[in-house]
Amino acid sequence: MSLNGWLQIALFFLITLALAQPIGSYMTVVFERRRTWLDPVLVPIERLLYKLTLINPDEEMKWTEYLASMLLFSFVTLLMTYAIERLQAHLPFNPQHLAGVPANLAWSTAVSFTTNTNWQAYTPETTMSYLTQMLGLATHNFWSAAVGLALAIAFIRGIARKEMKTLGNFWADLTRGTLWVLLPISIVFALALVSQGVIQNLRPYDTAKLMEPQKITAPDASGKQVTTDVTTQTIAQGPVASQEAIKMLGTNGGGFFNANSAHPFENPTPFSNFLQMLSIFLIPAGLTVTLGQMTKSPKHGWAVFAAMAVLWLAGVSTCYWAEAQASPLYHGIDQRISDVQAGGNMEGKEVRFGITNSALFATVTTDASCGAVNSQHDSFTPLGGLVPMANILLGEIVFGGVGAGMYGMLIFVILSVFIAGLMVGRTPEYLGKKIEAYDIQMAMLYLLIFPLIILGFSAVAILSPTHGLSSLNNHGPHGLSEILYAYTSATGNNGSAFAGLNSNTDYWNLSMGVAMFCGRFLMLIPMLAIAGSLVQKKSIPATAGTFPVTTPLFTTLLTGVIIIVGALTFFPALALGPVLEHLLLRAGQAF
Amino acid sequence: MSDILLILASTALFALALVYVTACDRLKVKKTHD
Repeated sequence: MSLNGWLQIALFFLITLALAQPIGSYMTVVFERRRTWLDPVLVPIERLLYKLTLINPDEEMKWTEYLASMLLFSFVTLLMTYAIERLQAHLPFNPQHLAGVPANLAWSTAVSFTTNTNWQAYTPETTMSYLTQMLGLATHNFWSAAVGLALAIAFIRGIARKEMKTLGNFWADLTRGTLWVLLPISIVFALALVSQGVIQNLRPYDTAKLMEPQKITAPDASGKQVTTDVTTQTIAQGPVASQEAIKMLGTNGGGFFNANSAHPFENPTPFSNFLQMLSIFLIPAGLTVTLGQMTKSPKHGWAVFAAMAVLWLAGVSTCYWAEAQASPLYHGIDQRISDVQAGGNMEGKEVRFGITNSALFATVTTDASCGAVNSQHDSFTPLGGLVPMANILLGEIVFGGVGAGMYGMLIFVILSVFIAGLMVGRTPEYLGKKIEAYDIQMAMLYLLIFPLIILGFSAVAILSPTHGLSSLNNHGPHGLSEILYAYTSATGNNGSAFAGLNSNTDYWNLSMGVAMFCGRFLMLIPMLAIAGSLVQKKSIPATAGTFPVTTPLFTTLLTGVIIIVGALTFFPALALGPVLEHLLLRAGQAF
Repeated sequence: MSDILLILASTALFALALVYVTACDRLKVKKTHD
């Protein structure tokens, strides 16, 4: 570790903190439908969209109607993406003449992008046409983020409104989130990325002549070993910057290229890397301010921000420390940090990012539900790799995905308030609303579905040598980590891969698709049910016995509840995976 | 799996999600009446 590394981490946090207030205040104005400086341009577009789709944006919806609209929208857009993938060979913007995507892979990918997971069981540059990337996938990068944002706003309205039945209009929230928040920031961000060298074109792929021709020996179709001379390299092109911006801002994470943000055309410089990390946290951090403003308790918003910041710092410190350590397997080799080497574990990391910005990126992308990667998590040390996995297992509530992080965190807030109420023997209250049995039942449903899907699917894969284990490249605790990480990433709608696992098989495509679907929709239903319950309650004035949700004590309790719930649920699985691998590595055994 | 089966599977998953919404709502109504 170095002072320079810590200063970069501190700078990242300070800029995130500084941006939270303006972006949060802006989102409050947007979703309270007050006037913004973008109105002269965007209001006519908004009105036209409502006119074309016969939507009345003033029509308020109950939570069930809000969810039904969201499910309908997700269903239709999922089928649209599936159709584009399957038919891409017959559609324009396919200069490489790529064939239609196989059915199971197309379905898994459509579910993946609809649910904001963006798990990719394919190599994009050899599988997806430009049209599929732009119309099938990048559109979902906007929509799935806007859906998450709309749901978080609906939840906040559930807390803020009193004795009402409705949470807003899903279509209006979806439209305003896309037009006023995601689109303008993405345009500016895409231009900034282009300035750093991220490409943006519709050209066929380039062919470069190799300076050092290679001889490659590989089996042909009949299994016979054949040696060929390779003299050229294909260099993939495409409309990358426009997709890259929303990929990060919308906490989507699906790369235009297989190497994701480690690819020099997606993430060419340390500055573009810094911007990408900032954009992941931009909206989720801002939402804490929006929470405070819409509930008329700004201090509560900052208390939630503080809990997120504590968990972020714990994660990045652990990951940075673990990756900066020398490997115990390399005896007698100088692995110290110096002017000529990064020191520590550089396997799977880009030299232009180094250990600090790889560890920080891995932490940020899994704190949020982004899943973009600029290094290979599979090559991290056991404890360094434990951090991204633990971040997802905690529910991605450390700032979290766009919207999803906020409503996930609010479930923990309600649980914390409930536990505090139990401690002092009072009916728990949250910002003047009584937390009752139904609210806790729904909160527990939300919290239990998550581990049930992850551990259930992982157990089935581990017990199935032909379907689950046959895709693994590693054995022992590392192999367990790869399976656990895959289902954790799918269910948490993160999308990052631990790698070392071929998930492009029928079994993995279908089981991961179901895990992604359940991890998104089965969790947000009880979440919005709580909002539907809270919105109907009257507000009770705070008394001396009310547990304040604006103090350091609340932040401490909230952080403790998150860690304890996460640790109790997943500790046995983590002990058999990364923790055991760490202990065996210290004893000289690698997997 | 074929296209038709996958589209039917998607429809079934979303239909189940709607049933789940209804079940959560009914639980609330039942609680209120109790």
